[in-house]
Amino acid sequence: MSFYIEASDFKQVYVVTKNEIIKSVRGKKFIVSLAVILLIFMLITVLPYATGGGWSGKTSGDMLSSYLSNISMVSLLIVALLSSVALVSEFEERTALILFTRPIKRTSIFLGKIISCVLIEGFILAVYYILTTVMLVAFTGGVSVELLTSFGFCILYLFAASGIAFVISAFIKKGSVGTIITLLVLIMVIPIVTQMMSGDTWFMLNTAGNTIITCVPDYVNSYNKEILTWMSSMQSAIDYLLTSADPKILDVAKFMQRMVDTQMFGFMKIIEIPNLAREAGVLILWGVAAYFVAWIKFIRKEF
Amino acid sequence: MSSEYPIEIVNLRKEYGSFVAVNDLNLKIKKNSFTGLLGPNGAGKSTTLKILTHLITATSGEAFLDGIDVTKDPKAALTNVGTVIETPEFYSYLTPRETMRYVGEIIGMSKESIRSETEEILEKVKMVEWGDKRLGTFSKGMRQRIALGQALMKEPNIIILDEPTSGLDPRGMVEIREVLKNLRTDSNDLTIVMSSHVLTEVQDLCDRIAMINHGTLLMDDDISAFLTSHGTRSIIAKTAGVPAPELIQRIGNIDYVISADRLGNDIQVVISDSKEDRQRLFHDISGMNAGVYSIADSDILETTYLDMIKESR
Repeated sequence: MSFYIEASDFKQVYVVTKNEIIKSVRGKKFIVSLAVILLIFMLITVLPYATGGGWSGKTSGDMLSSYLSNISMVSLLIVALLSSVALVSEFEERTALILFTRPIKRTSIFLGKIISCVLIEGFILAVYYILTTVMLVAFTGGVSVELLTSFGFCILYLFAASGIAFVISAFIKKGSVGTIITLLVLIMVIPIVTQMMSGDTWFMLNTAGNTIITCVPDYVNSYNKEILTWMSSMQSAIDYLLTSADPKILDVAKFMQRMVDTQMFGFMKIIEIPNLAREAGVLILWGVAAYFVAWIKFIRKEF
Repeated sequence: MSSEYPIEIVNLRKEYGSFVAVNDLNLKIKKNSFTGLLGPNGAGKSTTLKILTHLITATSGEAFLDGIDVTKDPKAALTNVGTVIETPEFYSYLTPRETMRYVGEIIGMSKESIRSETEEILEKVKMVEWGDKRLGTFSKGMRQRIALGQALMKEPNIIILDEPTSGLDPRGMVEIREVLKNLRTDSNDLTIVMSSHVLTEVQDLCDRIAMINHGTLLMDDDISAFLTSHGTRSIIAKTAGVPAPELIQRIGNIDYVISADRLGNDIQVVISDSKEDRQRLFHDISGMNAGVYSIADSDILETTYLDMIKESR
């Protein structure tokens, strides 16, 4: 196993990246991913009109709430579709018999695949962000620079989540199984582990991934405003119920008070703008650690 | 390493747990030879070729390609090597021309050379008219021709083939063999090693044979030496019906005939390996007017192959 780097290695990384991009762009999964993104955008854009509301008079925070609240989930879906097959497909589809027998280091192939995956997935998400920007400009007259920060975090999240997908892709033998396992790990296993942890979980992948939306002050303010309004309404209701003489109603009121005080409604939590540098570091670390494991397996994998 | 042997395998060993696939194999492939690597399933042929092409790593030993140990520096060792391992698949979204370009760029060819060589190679493998169609729609035979084509990019001086006609229909087999035959005649500096189960294919294409079993080398020699089996040649004379014992005796009594025996409905005649004796035998048997309608070399390769494999068990 050789670890030295030659100038030709970089050129080969570029060649592999180019080929992987052509492969993705001509493949069905790219079309499906793009279609999913466009469908989500269309639904978010059109549904308010269908329900009789529309976008006029909405604030930037309201619009970002609608457009960005599901973006991390969509990112994971795209990662599962495109990155989870990046390595395994060479073995499953027997294309390794052509590529690996050439004078090229497996590390160059590996790097080319990482770059192409992040570029392709980033492009798909960029389409969504551009469309969101157009809507924001059209209805609020401007767009906050934090939307760009959000996109940056989205790329970092794709990088980190792709790392997990690469690990799975390096170990399994079938691409379809890899896609399912990647989805399970990213959408279920990691969030469940995070939920079971006590205290601040800033170091977890999904928590750091939430920075995609929590880095936008307009979104955070708008979200918190809604939570505070809801909590205030709840408090009024609780206060009213506490005036009752019926002990059963009093029990319900006390239970509701406990729920509000401890924010036990789960999704109804006040959020804060996280430490951006720390969260960016977390995402990069998740990615680098995952790619390292995948790389070790990939360069040793035998045909 | 001597340039007389572009491929040199030294004490190569590959273990899978307690199973030894390649058992301290030593083999030298002569420059400009077309060597057929023979052996039964599980003999270690494919494993050896996969180590040579860096698809798997050796447990120990060395495998030199043009003097560079592929187990230590695969990138440098594979620089002038073209490979077709089993029936590879292609990126179905690429066309043959795009595939050649991809391979050409990987091996550092200039755009101009890629373009000109691609056309030359497509011509060679008779795929010019399919050059811009996506490979996903191609038959196995067509894909194998493209596999062979991509192996020829940058005019390699070593070509490694692992059962290149496996899984092809008879027409596909013939087409691939034709391309391989032409390669031999077109190039002055080309060493080919090919594993195959098809003995007639090896006999047809190769000038040397290396036979391995249980991961060790049984023999490595010129095919002519192998076929003549230590200076003798076996001829089969076919007669209409069961050959008469008198006829077998008459043939056996010819002074230059070493032996004549009944082999099923045929007569197996062993003579010395000289053209003159073969000519004389043809003439003499025809002259006997005993109903012999065919005189041809017997399939000594198959017989010897089976004998050697049996002995090595």
